[in-house]
Amino acid sequence: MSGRLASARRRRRDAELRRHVRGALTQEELEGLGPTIEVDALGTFCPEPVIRTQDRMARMGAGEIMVLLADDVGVEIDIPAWCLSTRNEYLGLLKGETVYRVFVRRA
Amino acid sequence: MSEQIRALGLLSGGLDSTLAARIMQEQGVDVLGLHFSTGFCLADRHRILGNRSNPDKPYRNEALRAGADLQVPIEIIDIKDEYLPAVVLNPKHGYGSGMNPCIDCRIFMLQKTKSIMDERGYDFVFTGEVLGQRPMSQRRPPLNDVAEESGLGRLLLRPLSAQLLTESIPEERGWVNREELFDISGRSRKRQMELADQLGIIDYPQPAGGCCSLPDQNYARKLKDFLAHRGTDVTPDDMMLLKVGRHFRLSGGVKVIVGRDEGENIYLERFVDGRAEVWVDEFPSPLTLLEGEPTAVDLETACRITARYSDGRDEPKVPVRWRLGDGDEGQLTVVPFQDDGELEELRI
Repeated sequence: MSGRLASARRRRRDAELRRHVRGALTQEELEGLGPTIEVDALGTFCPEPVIRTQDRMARMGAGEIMVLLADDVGVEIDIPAWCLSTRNEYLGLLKGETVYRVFVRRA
Repeated sequence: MSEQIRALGLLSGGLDSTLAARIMQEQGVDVLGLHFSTGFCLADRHRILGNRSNPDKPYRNEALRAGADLQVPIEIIDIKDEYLPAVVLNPKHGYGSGMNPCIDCRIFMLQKTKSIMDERGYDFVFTGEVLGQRPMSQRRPPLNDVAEESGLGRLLLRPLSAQLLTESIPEERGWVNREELFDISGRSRKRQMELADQLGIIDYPQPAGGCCSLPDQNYARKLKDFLAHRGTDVTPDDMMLLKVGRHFRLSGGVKVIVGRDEGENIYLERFVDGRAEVWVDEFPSPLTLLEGEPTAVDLETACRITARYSDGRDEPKVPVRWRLGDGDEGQLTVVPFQDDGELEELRI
């Protein structure tokens, strides 16, 4: 593959990831979500937040929403990537001063 | 209509395992990527300390990145609790350059993978191993040992080197086409990079070299010291602390961990509870943690070490603050360590 083609492909893929990383819902919509299943990964680092996400999601039904509480900055990229690979729906995140609330809908 | 062939692949997110997964996809195999979390991954340390060149861009998990790129679902298998006693402490096949039991590690992971294969009805397992690429685990005899001792035997396929190896069951049964697999061997990554271009894989970590702390001799020394003093009752926090800071062992068995920069100092603050801490107020300085029950002599030594790594290191005397695990606190004015020989004797 030529460098130009590779660059074009990388741009397309990055654009796709960026769309996914933004999440499907706005901040207001995330704030307004009804009851969700909460998973606490505070104080843990990669890959523990992803492990807790996948383990809890495995016990959820299709359409159910989980919110992951984490303070590892890596969840900003790891959870969207995990969702993209597993076809679960990344809804977005709310970023507090130190705590992330990451929303995922079970496919 | 033929039955969909399903395979499990060990996916680290490095170039070789990413290629192996893509090759399987090209042959119509339905792939689930397994990524094992041992607790010894170097990426953990990078993640903790942040990306210094671009603080807003955290280090990514390469396996998840590869899964997203390939549209291969990734399952992370947590083996942290079992890995140290079952693999690291008494490896049947010995260690590499550090405390890396690479052959036993592959066997252990593939035994786990075989269990998942059997439980969930997958057809075979593949890895990104390349004949001759790594001096310990990827020569022909250990590749054979790994296949046999994992219980997978010829159900284990190495797509990148398959044409140089005994025909596997997936090839024999026509689940995959051996002619479209590869005969790559050796340490060069040139052919893999060409193949990545052909298959449209443009994003993979550079350079190669694995993501495990155990081959690192500095890390191995710290781990051996830990095991000698604390035994095998290791917590996740213990494992994380081994990846951070300068480590010293004082005569009474007290351990001193000195942050090397601001990122490490911030990280060490998470572990202050229950430990003594030492720092300098008058100069930029590391945060130092003490494990164990320090005597007055230990505390003075820790203060001298801390002063040595502060910006007051060339001062004749430096006031150093300390706070013990029980909250008792005070200040000692000490002469910073100047004799590196004396300090090196304490260094782990």
